[in-house]
This record gives sequence, C-alpha cells and structure tokens, in this order.
Amino acid sequence: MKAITERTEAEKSLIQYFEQFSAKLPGNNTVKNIRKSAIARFSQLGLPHSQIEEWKYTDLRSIITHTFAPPEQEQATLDAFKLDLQLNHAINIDATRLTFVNGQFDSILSDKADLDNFDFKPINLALKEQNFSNAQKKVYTSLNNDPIGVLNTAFMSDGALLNLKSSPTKPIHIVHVTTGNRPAAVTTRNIVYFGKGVKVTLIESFITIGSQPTQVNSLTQLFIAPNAEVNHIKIQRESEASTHLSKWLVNLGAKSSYKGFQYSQGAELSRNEINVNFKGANAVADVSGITLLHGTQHCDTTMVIDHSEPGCESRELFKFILDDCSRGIFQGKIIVNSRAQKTDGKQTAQALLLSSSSDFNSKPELEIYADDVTCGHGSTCTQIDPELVFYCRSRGIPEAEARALLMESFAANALEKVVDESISETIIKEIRDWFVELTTCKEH
Amino acid sequence: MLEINNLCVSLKNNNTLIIKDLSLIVPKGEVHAIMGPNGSGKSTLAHVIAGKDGYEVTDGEIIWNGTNILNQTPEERAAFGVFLAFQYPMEVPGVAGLTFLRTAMNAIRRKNDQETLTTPQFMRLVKQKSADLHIDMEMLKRPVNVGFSGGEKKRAEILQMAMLAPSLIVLDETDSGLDIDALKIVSEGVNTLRGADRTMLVITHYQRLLDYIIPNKVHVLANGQIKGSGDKNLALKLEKSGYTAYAN
Repeated sequence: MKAITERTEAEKSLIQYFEQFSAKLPGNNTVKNIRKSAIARFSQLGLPHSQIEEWKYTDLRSIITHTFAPPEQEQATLDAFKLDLQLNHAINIDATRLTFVNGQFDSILSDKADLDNFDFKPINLALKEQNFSNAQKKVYTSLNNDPIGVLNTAFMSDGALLNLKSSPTKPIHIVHVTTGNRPAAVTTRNIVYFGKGVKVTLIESFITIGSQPTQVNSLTQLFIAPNAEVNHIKIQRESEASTHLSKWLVNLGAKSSYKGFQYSQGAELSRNEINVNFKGANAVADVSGITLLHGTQHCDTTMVIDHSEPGCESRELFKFILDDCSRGIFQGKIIVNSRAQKTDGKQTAQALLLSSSSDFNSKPELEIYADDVTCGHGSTCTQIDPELVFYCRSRGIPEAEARALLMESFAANALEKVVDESISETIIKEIRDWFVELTTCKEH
Repeated sequence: MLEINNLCVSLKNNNTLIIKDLSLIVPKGEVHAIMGPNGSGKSTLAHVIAGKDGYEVTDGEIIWNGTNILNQTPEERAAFGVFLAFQYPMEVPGVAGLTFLRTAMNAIRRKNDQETLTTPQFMRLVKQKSADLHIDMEMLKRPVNVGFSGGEKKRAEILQMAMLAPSLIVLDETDSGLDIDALKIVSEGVNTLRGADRTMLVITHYQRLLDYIIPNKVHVLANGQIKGSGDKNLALKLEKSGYTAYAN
C-alpha cells in the first residue's frame, strides 16, 4: 500500500484527537507504545480510498469529511428501560448480556450473576496486564496494513474479553450502545477464545439512542479451538446518522464449525469486513447475512475466506434488499492455498432492487493455488416479480402485504442459516418492521 | 350470475384488440367451458376477470353478483369471491403453504369485516379441507409450490380454492401439464367444490378435461369473440373437427 503525501482534514483531526486523548485511553506502557505505533502507521496510510482494490466501492477518504472525538470518559448514565426499548425485539433473546455504553463496560446494564460462570473481563482492565498487552503486539502487527484496524488499535477503549473453556448454558449477547448529546467516535475490541469442543452462541448488537452522529469502529477476534461449534450473530440497527465500521477476524481450529450471520439495517455508511482463516483441517465456515437499505444508505460487506488447511468447507450467502438511492456492495474473496486440497468453497450474493435508483455491486474473487478443489460463486440482481405479486393479490393479499411477503421470501434462505429460533424470530420481526415502515413512508 | 357485456380488451400500450365485443352470461351455480385455439384470447379473458395488470379494457363491463368488478383491484375481487386457478401456479420460495393460505384467508376476512381466524381455528379448517381433498398436510408445510410436480401444484390450487371458498371460479387451462391420473384427481377436487352457490368458468384447449368436469354449457372462443355455444356435445364435436370452422 502506498503512503499518502497529503492528509485530508478528517485524517488530520484523527491524529490530533489521538494526541489530545491518548493519555486517557486505557492500557499500560506496552499498550501506550502499541497505540503510538498504530497512529504513526495510520498517518502513513491515511483513510482507505477507492484506488485500494478492497475499498474500490467505498472511498472513505472522500466520504468521511468529519471525525469525532472519543466520548467523555465519565460513564454515561443510561436507564435499563431506554436500553430495552431500543433493543426492540432483541430483548426476547434469552442470553447473558454484556453491555457497553459509549465504548465502556456497564456492569449495571449487564447480567452480573451469569458472569461468574465464565471467564469475562472488560478489555480496558486486560490492557493493564502485562501478558495480555504483550500479546497485543502480535495482533497489532497482523493489522498493520489495515487503516481501520490500526485506528481501532490506537483508539480502542473497551470491549469483551471472553475465555470460554466450557459451553455456557445461554447465548452471550454483547450490546454496543452509543448515546449522549454530542457526536462521538466509539472504538471497541472484543476478543473471544472458544475452548476445545465448546458450543456457544455469541450475539453482537449495535444500537444508537438519540440522533447524534456517531462513528463506530468495532473489531471482534474469535479464536475457535478444534471441534468447537460457534454461532456468531450481529444485529446492526444503529441510527442513520451513524458510520459503522466493523471487522470480524475468525480463526478456526481443526474440525471446528463456525456459523456467522450479519443483519444490517442501520447506519448511513457501513462497512462489514469478515475474515475467516482456517487454521486446522476439516473445519466448516458458513457465513451469511441480510442487509436492508433505503434512502442514501451505503453498506459494503467485504469478506476474505482463507483456506490454508486441507479439507475445509466454506459457504457464504448474502442477501441485499435495496430501496430508493441506496447502495449495497458485496466483495467476496476465497483464497485456496496450495496445501488446502479438498477445499469446498461456495459464495452467493443476491440483491433485490426495489427502486431503479438503487445500486448493487458484487465482486467475487477466487485465488486458487491447489488443484483438487471445488469452488464457485454466483451473484444475481432481481426485482420483485410482478407475476408473483399478482398471484398473491389474486388470493386476496393486498399489494403492500404481498410485496412484504415476497421480500421475506427473498431473504428466507439466508435467515434459515440462523439456527437459534429466538434469534431468527427476532430478526424476522425486525425485517417485518422495516417493511411496514417502508410501506408507511411510501404511502405518506 | 356472471355477466360479461361487450368486453373489448387490448394489451396496455398496444391498440390491437385481443377480446372484441365479447358477451357471455353464466348463471349462478353453473359450470361453463370456454374452448378455443391458441391465441384466441382465452387466458386474457381469465386474467381480465381476475384483474391482472398489463391489459386495457377499452369497452364493456364484467358484472359479478350485480357489481361491475372492472374498477376493483385483484385483492378486492378476491374478497368479492373471484378466484383464478392459474395455468401454471407460481412458486413462492421461503413462504410456507400454511403461512400463505392463512395470510390470504385473513386478508379476505378483514376486507369482508369478518373476524380473522386464530391459529387453532385455521388449523382445524385446513386439516378438514385437506382430508376432504386427500391432500397430505406435510405438503403445506413446504414453501408454496416449490419443487411440486404439475399435479401437486394443481392440487394445492384446489386446496386454496376450498379454503378461500370463492363464489366465482375461473380455471385457466387447469389441464396443462397434467397426466391422465393427475387430471382425474384434480377434476374430482373441482367437482367436490361444485355447488348451487358456486359459478365456474373452465377454460381449456382440450375436450378431455370436460369428460371429468361436465359443463352445463360450452362456448367457442376464437379471434377474441364467442363464435358458438352449445351443450357438452359441442366439445366432442370440436375435438373431431378442430377449430377451423370458427377461424374467421
């Protein structure tokens, strides 16, 4: 990646915010030094722009013109009722909740009783421990070429550190909520270790309370030991004044199974990066998602599946429903290393365009260095079939309801990937609410 | 009673008439067949009765139970008792047959100011109707028509008919894509639904369907017009002589 010579105002202010706030960010001297290296690296890289292939469709350098300071250090007070209201249907998920308000752990809004059953620590405390901070050097090095990743390292304030040696009885739900009266940039890091053979469902929710603009940068690292089975779900319903940059780094051990799912409907601009690395043979990764956009929303899902071990299987299925002038992007790369024989990889991205001004860009990439592999990709772009609308209407279903039913039908096989019923119920209810809102907006 | 008066239909944005000054009366409780060659306007007639988009009714009226339905939306017509059995029933992936049926039934009931059905009420009804029609309930748990054979799709349509209990049924080439056994089963289903309160218009190319669904009257549609009417023997005659006599 070439270094940039001239910094934009946004880049300058990010560097300036670091100088201003770094003393208040958590961590021992090791961490402080890592943060300094990270911001120095950022000043070389700058914000990603469209000349970088991975950012071809999302030119952050030109889109991000304003940046915000980290939120005030004093804990924002948020009452549980407001939080539940904003969590909407997700409150029905029976899970151990870990809540982070403006990027800081909130023990009052978290299920403390359940926490004793597994090893949890807020990252801000871990960053003060020498062993943990030493390990972060390696993480930092691996993110060295990713401008958003280095920003996350420079500014991360908190997040969940989980070490799951046995299977918890309930799913774990990490809730990231942004609130307050002034625009803020919230940066979080979650690190989760899944022990051998454990079965876990991990949910991440992102919500905003209030209408102030926010910039969220969230990075989640998963280390999945052999034979573990992990369901990982993200529900992103931030306000449309928000910019959401997220990255999942998933490392899979031998014979482990990973099912990832991302539901995105919020944020004016969102970028969801998902990197899956097979670190052991015969593992399975099945990653899917549903994105609903309207207005001028822009959502970019960029995936890299790295098959470096033999006999692994990867599946990707992403659905986009795009209205008005919104834009959906799917970039999916499958890399098959020369030793990764018997790899089986398949990716599919499909868009349903509800308006002639909406836009879908899909870019599959296969990089295959082994000879005994099955790899494929497919992408489609469709509209709601008028014949099907008529079929529903001829059975008495009013037009708006028919269209909603058909949108649901389009999203159905991606939603089927969510195995936990209370979670898939939550998502389908969100989808239905979105359709109703869409119809109501159109009628007025 | 279904009363079609001087109906003229063209495709939208195309002035060529497909149906030309067509008039037809089907008294309440009767089954009338419409036969005709390809391109005679049979499917257009079925679509226009159900309110499908893409056609322009330039003249005439379709009166069902005393109301001209031409200004009603397809869903209003459905609530008013009109049902079109599709030549090729559509597949709706991801929507279970039961969900689809319940959505349709309750939409119609709401429109007619009737209370919507609760899940147990709906399930009781659907169990009873599927048993009457020898339909396996498992089929309804699958997405609407997805992966169904031609025969299964038509049986699913008949179950929809039985559930929605329409008063005017238009069967658009129901025999398309059916082997003889499936044809018998489907016809039996249709016959079960015959009754004094139910008017049917059976559109078909071939006489063989009418061996099983015996019509009160047969009309020949050619070139957008009714060119002749008679009893069920007219169908047998057409099968022998073809439509050439009605070509102009």
